[in-house]
Amino acid sequence: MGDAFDKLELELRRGVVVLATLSQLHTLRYGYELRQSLVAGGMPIEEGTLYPLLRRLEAQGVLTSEWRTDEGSPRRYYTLSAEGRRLYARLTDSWRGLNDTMNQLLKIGERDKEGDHDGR
Amino acid sequence: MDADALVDSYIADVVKHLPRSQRADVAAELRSLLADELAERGRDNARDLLVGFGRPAEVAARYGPPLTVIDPADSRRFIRLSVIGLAVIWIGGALSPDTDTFRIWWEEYAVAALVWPGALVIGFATTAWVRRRWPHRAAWKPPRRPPRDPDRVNRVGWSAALVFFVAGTFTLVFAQPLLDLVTGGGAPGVLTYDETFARRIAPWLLTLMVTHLVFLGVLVVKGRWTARLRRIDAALGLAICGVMTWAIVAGPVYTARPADQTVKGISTLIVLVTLVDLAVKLLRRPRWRATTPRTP
Repeated sequence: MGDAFDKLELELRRGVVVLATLSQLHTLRYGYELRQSLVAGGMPIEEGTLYPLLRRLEAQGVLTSEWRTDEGSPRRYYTLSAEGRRLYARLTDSWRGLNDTMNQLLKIGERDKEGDHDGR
Repeated sequence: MDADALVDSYIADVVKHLPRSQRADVAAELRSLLADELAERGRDNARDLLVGFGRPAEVAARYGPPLTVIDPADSRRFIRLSVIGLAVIWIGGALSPDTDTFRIWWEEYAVAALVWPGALVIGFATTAWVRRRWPHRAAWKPPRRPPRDPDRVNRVGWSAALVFFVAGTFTLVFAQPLLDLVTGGGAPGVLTYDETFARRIAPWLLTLMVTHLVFLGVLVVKGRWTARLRRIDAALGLAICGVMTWAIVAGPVYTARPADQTVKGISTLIVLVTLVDLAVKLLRRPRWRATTPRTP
């Protein structure tokens, strides 16, 4: 049961990894800083998943990146491209729509559950 | 190995799986990211950090778009076809009269058979590529004609089969007189039945063959398969296979050895094909159609 929960929860989280990442890239951030920001927001993403994801999003034109050496060691900073901002806005709308739908479905489910209990 | 050496080794293992044009850039970024991670967790934990980061080949694969050679939807079919093909080639090779030793079987059949799964990989990969390239072509389309009613009997086809089987049975029963008629008596005793076979086995076999002919006649007249007709067909098939197997192992069928060996070879093939046909019919019998609810 625990194993099934872990797998299904992982699938749920996978679905929001991209949107969570984009949400933190309105300003320039490097990979480690971004991961810390996601952890602080309650969305830890494994390093081995997050860092390659940034490169893939950049290859798709969603992010832009540049090397900077502001604090000594060189780091690659990422931020949303113009296309990425448009994509982020659309994905955010989709997410909110999905969230409303899910809340509605869960409410109906809760109501059915309570009805079932009362019936017994 | 100290932390820096571990990190260098890990990065080298990751980037060797990447295209050359990406390697230097990804290596530089990974080094800076892992330095940040190590600064937080402590350099003593370098090994745990790198193990947790993931297997290098998997991490490298995440840097590019996912690559699928055989579509997951085709995987089961690919495995089934591979296993069936290999089994047929290996068993066929083992039964071949040319296979005298294990070495011959190994070299000519066991290893050569691996071409089959290789060909399947090429076929499935090409199909997957075509599907991705032109997705509209892969979309499901309803058949141009409505699906054939599996219970309907093709009366013309089965009538032709009936005539063929009647002629075949007649030829088998009167094999030698017919041969004499054709050759003008030039092949005496070539197709004469062995006396023991004619007395013990032939009556059973002839009874079953005639029963089968009557069954085919009933089928043509009715024009539809029913559950009972299918059961009778299977029972008759099994019974004929049983008596034919008995004839093959019991002793000579014909007095002349070449004719006897030929008819036994053909009979073995008929028994095998019939059994496979029965097994396929049993597996594919349309159970689900009766239980699928129809929309009003």
